[in-house]
Amino acid sequence: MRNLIYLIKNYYSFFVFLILELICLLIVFKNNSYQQSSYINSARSISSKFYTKKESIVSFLTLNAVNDSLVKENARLKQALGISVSANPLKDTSYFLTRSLDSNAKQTVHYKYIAAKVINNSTDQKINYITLNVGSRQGIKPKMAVITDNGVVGKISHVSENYSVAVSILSDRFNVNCVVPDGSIGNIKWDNKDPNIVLLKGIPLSANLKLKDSVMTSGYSIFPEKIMIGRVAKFVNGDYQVWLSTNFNKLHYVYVVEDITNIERTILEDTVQADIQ
Amino acid sequence: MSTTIKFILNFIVILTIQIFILNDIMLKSSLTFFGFPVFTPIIYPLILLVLPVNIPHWLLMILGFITGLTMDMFSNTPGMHAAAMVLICYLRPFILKLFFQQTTKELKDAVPSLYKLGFTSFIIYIGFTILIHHFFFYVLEIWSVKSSLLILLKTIVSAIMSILLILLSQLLFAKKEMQRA
Repeated sequence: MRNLIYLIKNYYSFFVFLILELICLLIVFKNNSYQQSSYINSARSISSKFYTKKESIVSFLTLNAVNDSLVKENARLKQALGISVSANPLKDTSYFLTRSLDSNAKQTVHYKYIAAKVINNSTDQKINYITLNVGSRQGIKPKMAVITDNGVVGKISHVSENYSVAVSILSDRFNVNCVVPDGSIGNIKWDNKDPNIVLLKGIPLSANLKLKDSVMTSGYSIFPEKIMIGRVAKFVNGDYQVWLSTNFNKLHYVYVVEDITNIERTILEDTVQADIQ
Repeated sequence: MSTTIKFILNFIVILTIQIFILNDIMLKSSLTFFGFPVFTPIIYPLILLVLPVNIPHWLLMILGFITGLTMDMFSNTPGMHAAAMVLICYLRPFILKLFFQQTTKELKDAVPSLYKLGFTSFIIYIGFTILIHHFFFYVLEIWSVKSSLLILLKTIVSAIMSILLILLSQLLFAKKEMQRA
């Protein structure tokens, strides 16, 4: 017994080290899968307040770029809806509003878009999270898709009352189903290196992909159909490198997509996955 | 200024710089062109590295643990910063022994700053601890043998950046102690 006390007294620092290190590693390996990490959700409420403060200061610096992107998107949407814009509608007597909804535009009615501001973002980690300033009060639920007007961003993983956290597609174990111009279905995955490039797998050689071919979402995953992912940049031993159309280093505003008709499908798919596990 | 106040000030200022400026810095996009991995400079270990030499070992480790957890909260990494911090706090007295010939009792509350240690010793001291911290952190974060080259590359690239920034901060703020000595 005396020897034991002597041992602890002499090497107490080593034991303190051992205990603290074990606590840390326990936290690491209990939370290493982003689907079930409780750590992030509890930490969010404190840190997101700080990030909102910071974003309110920094966002002033990026106003120009944000304005430009919003004007561009407005123009594109007007084009899609077929609203003709005349120079001066009051003078022009022949002016009247024409709305020619084509079949594609009607389909988008199933989706509800919730605008959100990015208050924190990272691109250098293994699993990258994006914090948004909308939460369950605005109707955000886990597993909703997050997109910008340029392309895909990620999916919601944690929701608190006023904030939510999304896993970006720049994450380990995040797969997005995609389709290439000839109709072949493939899989998009990030290789943990460059935040502008993702890998495209599972496309047969017969698809005959060329450089700069567009890669879009297939509609089999949580994302709506025909959302741009990026363009083919390089052919690397069997896989393709895809240059992302979303610039993750300059992410300011995003849309959270709620698929109104999709609830039944996700419930069914979830029960299947639970049965397998 | 007492050590406690100095520590709290250091804690707030350095963590603010780390979280709101360095974690956001877009060094990333320009460097990835040459096939470099994305990285951020990590300077917050400096908070613990400039504490007095005679601080109790257990207190140092607990302070390191708290600092690491605060960092984890803000960067969405569960426990990885904390684990790396506890490791270098445990190793700090042994590394310091290499540079101070006197015992820790004689040195009392001397701070291992740039001017106290001298230029070369300080770089070796900071470099050694930062390399250990970064290596351990990236091993925990990436956690695969397949990408061990990526771990090494990330460690070295971001360690160089961190050491440069720490040196710069020391040149700017650690001047007073030289005049007194």
